[in-house]
This record gives sequence, structure tokens and C-alpha cells, in this order.
Amino acid sequence: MDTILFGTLIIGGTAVLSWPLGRAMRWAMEPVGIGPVRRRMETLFERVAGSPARTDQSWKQYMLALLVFNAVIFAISFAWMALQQHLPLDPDGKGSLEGSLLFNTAASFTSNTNLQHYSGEVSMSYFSQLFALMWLQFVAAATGIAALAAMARGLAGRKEMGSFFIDLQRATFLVLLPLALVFATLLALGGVPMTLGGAAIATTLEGVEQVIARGPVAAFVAIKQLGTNGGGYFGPNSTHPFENPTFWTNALSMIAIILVPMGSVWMFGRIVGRPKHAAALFGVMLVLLVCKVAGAVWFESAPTQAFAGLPAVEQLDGNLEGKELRFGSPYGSGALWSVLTTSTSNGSVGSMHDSLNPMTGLMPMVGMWLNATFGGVGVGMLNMFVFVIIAVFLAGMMVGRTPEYLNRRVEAREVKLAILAMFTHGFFILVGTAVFAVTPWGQATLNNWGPHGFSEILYEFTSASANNGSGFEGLGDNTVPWNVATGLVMLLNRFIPIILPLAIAGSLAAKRPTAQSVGTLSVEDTTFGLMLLATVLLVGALTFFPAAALGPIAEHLHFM
Amino acid sequence: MLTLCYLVLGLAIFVLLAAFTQAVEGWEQD
Repeated sequence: MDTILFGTLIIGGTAVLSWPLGRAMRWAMEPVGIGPVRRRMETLFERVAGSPARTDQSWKQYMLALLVFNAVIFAISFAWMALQQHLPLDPDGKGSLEGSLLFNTAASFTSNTNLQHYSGEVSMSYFSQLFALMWLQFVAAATGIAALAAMARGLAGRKEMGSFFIDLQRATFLVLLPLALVFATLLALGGVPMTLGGAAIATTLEGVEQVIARGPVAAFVAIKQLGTNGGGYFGPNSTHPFENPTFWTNALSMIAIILVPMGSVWMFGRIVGRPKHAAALFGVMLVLLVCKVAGAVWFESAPTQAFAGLPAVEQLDGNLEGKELRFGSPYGSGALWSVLTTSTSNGSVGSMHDSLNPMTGLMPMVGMWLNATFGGVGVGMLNMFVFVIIAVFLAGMMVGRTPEYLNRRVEAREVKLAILAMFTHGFFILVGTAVFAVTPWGQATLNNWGPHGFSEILYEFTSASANNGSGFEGLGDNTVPWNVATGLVMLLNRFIPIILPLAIAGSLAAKRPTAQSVGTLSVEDTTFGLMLLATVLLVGALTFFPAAALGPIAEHLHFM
Repeated sequence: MLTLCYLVLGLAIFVLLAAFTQAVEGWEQD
């Protein structure tokens, strides 16, 4: 009962908060009818962007600007981490990282994934944490919001989609930075450390000297959660008592995980001028999210098989292995967090996902496979848009009419691009998993064999491709093959799912608007919502069910 | 040296993505 109430308050409460946030995000990203103060901010952004970047861009110019900017931040963060031993703010004398790990980490933070094959407190100087990683957590997330704003403008019928460099500043300074300041302050008040002093040295009661890592944690954790980044300051992420000390910071973190992805849907609806359409999309995402949470809580209420048969071990409160009981109910930091963090491409962890019961472990994977049940900041809505194009196409075929979306005809070109976007996600996950499952690249790094070991490999590629960054763990993933393979997947599947929806929006914007008639498919009612829901489930199941059957489902059946 | 190779690999991916963007525009005009 407590779990249901807690989950309802977190998800329902954040859904309510996301409505005004969506309004504010629209104000930030689409400055129409603004006051003098906001006008002055806009002038400043234009000055910073410079004269060539001030003009509106076509979808291709916008995309190329986005790629150039991300290539530059990749190179800068790579250089900062490679040279951290020569840079300031390194009181604990951290050295440079190995080359493939540098590549993986720079790719990971540039792509808003934050998959971590290193341990932050062991490997990174304060300079690297702040100016190579935390900085990227702002601009990588802002890139997603900018891409969504551009796509929405295209769908509103504008051939010019705005200026990327101005959008990037709007998303960073008017959306993410103010939110991060509020959340960082609340986290610091909740006991999360915020200091530039070196590690604390303590002497234990046994007389042993203990080095306790600390740093600017509150600032790091705030944007880690709000920007669906997920990369922790410490290796154990949000299970570490300095990242997440109390029940309240735990609840606050979960709200921060889903807040901006939810607000992005409302922002999209406002920019395209169809808030009811946004409500239909929001409803579909919410239904899928609630189903996954309910499934995870249900399957996690069974005791873990790891303790089955042990004498004198009673498991009356479900699977307690790998959970943080500091927060009360094990479901709060376990099942609920695992679904929220994987539905939104966040990837921070509140429990050990490797210890989840097999079918509970499937729920986070489903979240990352669909990658659109709110999804990443901005990009989750881009992924859902691809499902919408497929759903509209299928609905058109059923009734024998040319499919339309927001008064534009959806033709073969748009459907081909949407299918390509859908194909790449499955391709990277399934091909990567297959290669690592049959070669020493994957086999030599496993700590478990059989279906569970397969799940570990499947989860790692799923997390990289979905730009999630959470780890199933139980995998020795800091090796050259893992670092290079997941690094490539993260970069490619960060930007291909941005390129293709923008191309579709550009293509639709170039068409003449069609007149609405009684035969036009409404994208604002329950029928559309059900059609979209069925499309998401059908495409997801057809793509990923065989892999799920070999991993978590086989493991579940093995224990029956 | 090897570290520089990894940096070049990352930047090469961005060049590839830019080429892909150009190619997608070409498909649009087919």
C-alpha cells in the first residue's frame, strides 16, 4: 500500500508539475509575445551566437551546427580528462585515464548517456568532474531540448527551424540552469556535500586512517538527474550516501528524473499549437510507464532465488538483495527507481539492477528498448514522434486513405526515414549483443553464465544505444572492446535518432498543408492514443522479444 | 599516441554523421 501511494505521489505529482514547466519551457525556447526583460536576454543570446549563427536555419543547417558543436565539446572534454594531472583543482593527485576509457567517457557524456566504465571518486579530478563532465551534463541535455524545439517548429509548418546556437543558450540558461540551482540547493539542504576541499581524512575507532572522498556533489547530482544524464559523482551512483542521503533526497531525485522529460511533451504541444495532441501522447507515455512500474513492483515482491533454500533466512518483504533500505520500502529505491531511470534515459541507479529478479530486470530493458516513455530530455519526444509516424501510416493503410499528420501528408519518404530510425536502435543492440555473446570480448568479462550473463551483455548494449547509461553490472566492462564498442554505439545512436526526425519534420514542413475533413485522422482522441499504444507495443515486441526470451524470460522460467 | 587515435576516432564519427545528414537530404530529393 505504501509503495502504491509513494509511486502515485512521485509520478502523479511530477506529472502535475510538468504542466507549468512545459509552459515555461515554451516561453524559454519559443519567445513569442515576450516582455522587455526576456527580449533583452534574447538580444544577449544573439550577440553571443554571433552574426552567422543568428539567422534561422533549415533542418540540415540546424543539424550540422548541432554536430559541429557536439564534436567540439567531445574534443574539449577528451582533452580536459587526458590532461587532468596538469590542470588545477586536483588536490588528490588523480592521473590520466587510459585511451579507450577516455574515448568511452567523452562519448558517453557528449551523448547524454553517462555510461561510466570508471569510478568517479577514484579517477577524476575536481576539474574533470566540473568542466569535462558536469558542463557536458548541461549542454548535452540542452542539445536534446534544442532538437525538440526545432522539430516542433518544423511540424508547425516552418521551413526555417530556428538557430541551434541560440536554442542551445535558451535551453541551458533559461531551462536547465535555474532548475539545477533550485534542486542543488534542496539537495545540499538535504545533506549532500558541496565543497571544493580535498578528501576528508578520518581515524576510525580501530585507529585506522580512512580517506573519505567528497567534492561538489550537490551541483553534480542536480543536473545529473534533471538532464536525464545519470552519471554519478561516485561510482555507486545514487546508492552512495553522499549522493542520496535520506528519504527526501531519494524522492527529490526521482521527481528530478522524470520532470523535464514530461515537461518536454507539453513544450512540444505548445510549439506546434496542439496541446490536445500533446495530452494524447502524454497519456500513452504515462500508461506505458505505469504498466512497467506495476510489473516491476509485482515481480520484485517475490523473494530472490539467491537465498532460496538457505536456513534461517526469511524474506517476507520481497527481494531485498542489492537494495538501499535507508529509504524505507525496498520498492522505492529498487523497482520504482529502476523503471523511472530507464524509461527516461537517465541511468542513475538507486539499487543494484543485477540483483533484481529476472522479470523485474526485464522492465528497465523494456523502458530502454522503447526509449519513448518520456525518454531523454527532448529526445524522448523525438523517439515518440517516430512511433507516431508509423502509427499514422498504419492507420492510413487500414482505412485506405493517404496518411496525414498535423495537416501534412505522410508519404513514402517520411515512413522510410521513420523505419530507418527505428531500425538503427534495434540493430545496435541486437548485433552488438550477438557479437559479444559469442566472442571472448563479452564472455571473458562475465561474472555469470547462462541467461543472466546474456542479460548482462544485452543490458549493456541496450543502455548504450538508448543513451541511458545505467549498468546491470556484474560485468567487467572497462576493457578496450567494451569501451570502443559502447562508445561507438552511444555516439551513433545519439545523433541518428535526432537527424532522422528532423529530416522528417523538414520534409513535412516543405509540403502544402492539407484541408482538414471528416476523413482526417484525429491525433487528439482516445482512438489515436490506442492506435499509438498498440504500435509501440507491436514494434517493441517484434524487435526485442527474441532477445528477452534468451535473457530475463529464460532465467525466470529456469527458477520456476 | 594511442590516446590521440581514440580522439581522432571520435571526431571521425562526427564527420560520418555529417555525411549521413547530407545523404538523408539527398534521399529527400529523390
